[in-house]
Amino acid sequence: MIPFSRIDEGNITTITATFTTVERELITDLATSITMLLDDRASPPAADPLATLVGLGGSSTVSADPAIARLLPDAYAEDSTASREFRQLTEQSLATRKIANSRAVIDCLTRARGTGVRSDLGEDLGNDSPPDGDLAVWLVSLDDASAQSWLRSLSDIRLAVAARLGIEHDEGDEVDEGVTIESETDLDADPQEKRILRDVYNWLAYVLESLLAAIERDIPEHANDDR
Amino acid sequence: MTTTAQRTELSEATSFDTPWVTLVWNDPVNLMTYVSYVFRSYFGFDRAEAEKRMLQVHHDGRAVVASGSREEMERHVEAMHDFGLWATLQKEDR
Repeated sequence: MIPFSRIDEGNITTITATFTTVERELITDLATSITMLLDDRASPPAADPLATLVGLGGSSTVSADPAIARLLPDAYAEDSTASREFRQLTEQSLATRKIANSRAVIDCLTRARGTGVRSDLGEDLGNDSPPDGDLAVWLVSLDDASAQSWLRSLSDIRLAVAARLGIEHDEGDEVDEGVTIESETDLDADPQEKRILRDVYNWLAYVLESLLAAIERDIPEHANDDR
Repeated sequence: MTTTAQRTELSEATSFDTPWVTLVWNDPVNLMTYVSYVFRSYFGFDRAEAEKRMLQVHHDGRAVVASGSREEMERHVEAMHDFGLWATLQKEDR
């Protein structure tokens, strides 16, 4: 990818990045997984429609699936009754917002402008032309709102991937992505797939850091001088 | 006629006198830069304060990021969960 960068034109901020076809498909697939993972929690199938309207009637307990549990955690560390009540009142809307963020990412990537990489091409492939194998790159342009969706969706994706990898503890070293202690998961049966997922997990950290750096230029340390 | 203006409390044990706190817990996934960013953009901490609390989370396992009413703290917890951070609320230790 070409990392996120920021363009400020007057009052309008655009944050852009370029992804390869593989990267574009990868993030799309991962974001889609999040929407599927949370779907039942956002719209519980057996819920009373009236209760659903006001956001009530969601599940009352934390999910047995570690990925969902990490995305929709308990609000009270030591009061399961309070956690249960809070979950019933808030989980559906939280899950719905997370799905919306991931859908925004999918939408951005679907609408990304494709261009041929080769210098003799230099042409705009548009959105409908099939990309020329791996030679196409896709330009993503984000406004402030979609940048926020990307931030949250990428974080959710990393949390879900980490749960699948069994990442549970870190060793408190300086590097964010340093040595982690992993618990046993189904993935241990497939070391190759685990390695690939690990690479994806690390790459997503890079994408997230890049996006953060582009966004962070917006937070002033002190009042801006607008001249 | 019934009054619909009554606010339904989340639970009967609403404490008006005991302040509540929001805690953010360490996790091995979220980037330190991201946690700092959330503290600055959501809570409005300046860079130094956000770094300090982020490092507290990182080294101590958790940090207090807000205090106030139970309902306020619940909103903060929900916001943290929106960001993918893990947060809980509890009564402030005396």
